[in-house]
Amino acid sequence: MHRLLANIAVILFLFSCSPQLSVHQINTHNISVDAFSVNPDSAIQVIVKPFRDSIAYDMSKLVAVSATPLVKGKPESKLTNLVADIILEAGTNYCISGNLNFRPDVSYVNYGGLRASLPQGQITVGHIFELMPFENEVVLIRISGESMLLMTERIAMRGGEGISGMKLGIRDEKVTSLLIGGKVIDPSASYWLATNDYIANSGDQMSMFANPEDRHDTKMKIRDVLIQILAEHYQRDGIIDVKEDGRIYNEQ
Amino acid sequence: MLKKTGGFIMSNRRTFLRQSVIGGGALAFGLFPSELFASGELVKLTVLHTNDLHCHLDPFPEDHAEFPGMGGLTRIASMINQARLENPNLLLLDAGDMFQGTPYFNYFKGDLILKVMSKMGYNAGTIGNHEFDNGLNDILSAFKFANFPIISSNYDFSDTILADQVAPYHILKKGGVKIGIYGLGIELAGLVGKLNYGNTQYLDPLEMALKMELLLKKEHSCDVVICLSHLGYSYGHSKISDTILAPLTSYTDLIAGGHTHTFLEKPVVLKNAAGKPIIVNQAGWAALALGKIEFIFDRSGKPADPVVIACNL
Repeated sequence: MHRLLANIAVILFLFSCSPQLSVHQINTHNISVDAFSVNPDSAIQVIVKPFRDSIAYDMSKLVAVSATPLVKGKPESKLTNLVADIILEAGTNYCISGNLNFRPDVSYVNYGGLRASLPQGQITVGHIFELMPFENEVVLIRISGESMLLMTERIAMRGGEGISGMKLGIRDEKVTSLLIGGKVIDPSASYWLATNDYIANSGDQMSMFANPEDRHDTKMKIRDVLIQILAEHYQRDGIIDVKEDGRIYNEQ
Repeated sequence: MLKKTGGFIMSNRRTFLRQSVIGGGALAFGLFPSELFASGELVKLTVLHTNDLHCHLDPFPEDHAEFPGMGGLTRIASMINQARLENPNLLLLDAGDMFQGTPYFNYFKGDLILKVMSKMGYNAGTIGNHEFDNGLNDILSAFKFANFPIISSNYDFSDTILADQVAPYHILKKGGVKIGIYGLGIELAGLVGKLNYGNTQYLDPLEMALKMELLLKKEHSCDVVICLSHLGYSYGHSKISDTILAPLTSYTDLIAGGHTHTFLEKPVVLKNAAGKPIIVNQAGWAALALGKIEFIFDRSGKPADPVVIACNL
């Protein structure tokens, strides 16, 4: 696929009176690192092997089995829906176990933060590491309905991302409809949002979260809750079968 | 099907033959016969570059949807060894985002990737946004494993623990060729958490590029000037990128880029502000590709007719 892709030779000349050398020809190539063409370097393998072996056992552990491949897409997708649902569930669990007097209403997962697809069949710890390599943690913030609208406008502009607990209609990159918990958004009300610390710290252009009304840093790593909650679902309900449910839809 | 042994040139007979054909054609165009290399009038500098390695030491698994069994820095290491046999005047460079992306990073931070890159003989690297993922302390501790300079011309670390750890430029010599390298990083605000980059100051990359290339070309008399960039290849709008930067420069010969994970069908040749060619290239990500640029210098200073040979293999 990405073999030796191209070769250009550019011949040029530079008149120069300085003692500096002049470039007379440039050859350029892009070379693919193809599975069949090169063996790993043995000296480098010697360095890497003990590290590789020490994590291989952890990575091979089974988390769950999925009925379908889980791939991210817009406006919604199985992968973005699954991760957003798990973040919302993790936030809810945190509130229950901490005897807090609120529950997160919605969750948001930035599209760019999902770094790989999950396969059909066996999902291992290694797959979850590829999906979520970052050390980000679940954060709960209380924000105004107005901020919530700003967030969904940003999501609409991007053609959709990972959300849970709300239903979002989009047309021409604008929000046409927003239901939270089945009710029309109230700009003057407050809502609890579960997301990651990167977003809660206004990352990915989410400046509307700069001054939340309240904030809980759960200290739970996103990756850990993905592994834990997926495994719980699989052990309780069997094979994971994620559906797209129209939570983000394009209005005609 | 390609043979399983050997390096990247000899293992691909078709490629090898085509390159021979180009060589023959080049002679017909009055280019450089090999005797000139032997006599020392011509000197060839090979620049190999990677970007966005993201700790992909190993190939992708065989069941990977997009890149089954492909890539891997341990295999690039073999390709580098082969290329060094072919031309010892070789530079190995990286354009940032070495960190983050496989469990190697989660378990061993940036230490292992930098240990491996050092063993591979990297000559220089620059800083990508993901280098900041675990904050400045972890950058500092990982850099202890790098035996090559990390260059950034537009991140000012002077008010951070990384002061004196990062060079604004680097000059080295290979086979009598003096090479100047500078490095450009992407704007951190909005992309990297403020806590993670602390008091790092982001300076305008265009301004610093023009300053650095002038310094390297004119004051330090470098024969070739290379920019390691983590700005990104192109954004389709005015955000600064390699393709926006290149035409505004005057002395940079090559921008080896990163960040946008761009696979280029072929390295791009643009015209700089002086109307001279500048190469812009990027080598995908995850050690899936290796950029290769050969600069051929004529010590005699004889002018040659400009000829462009473009060939898709």
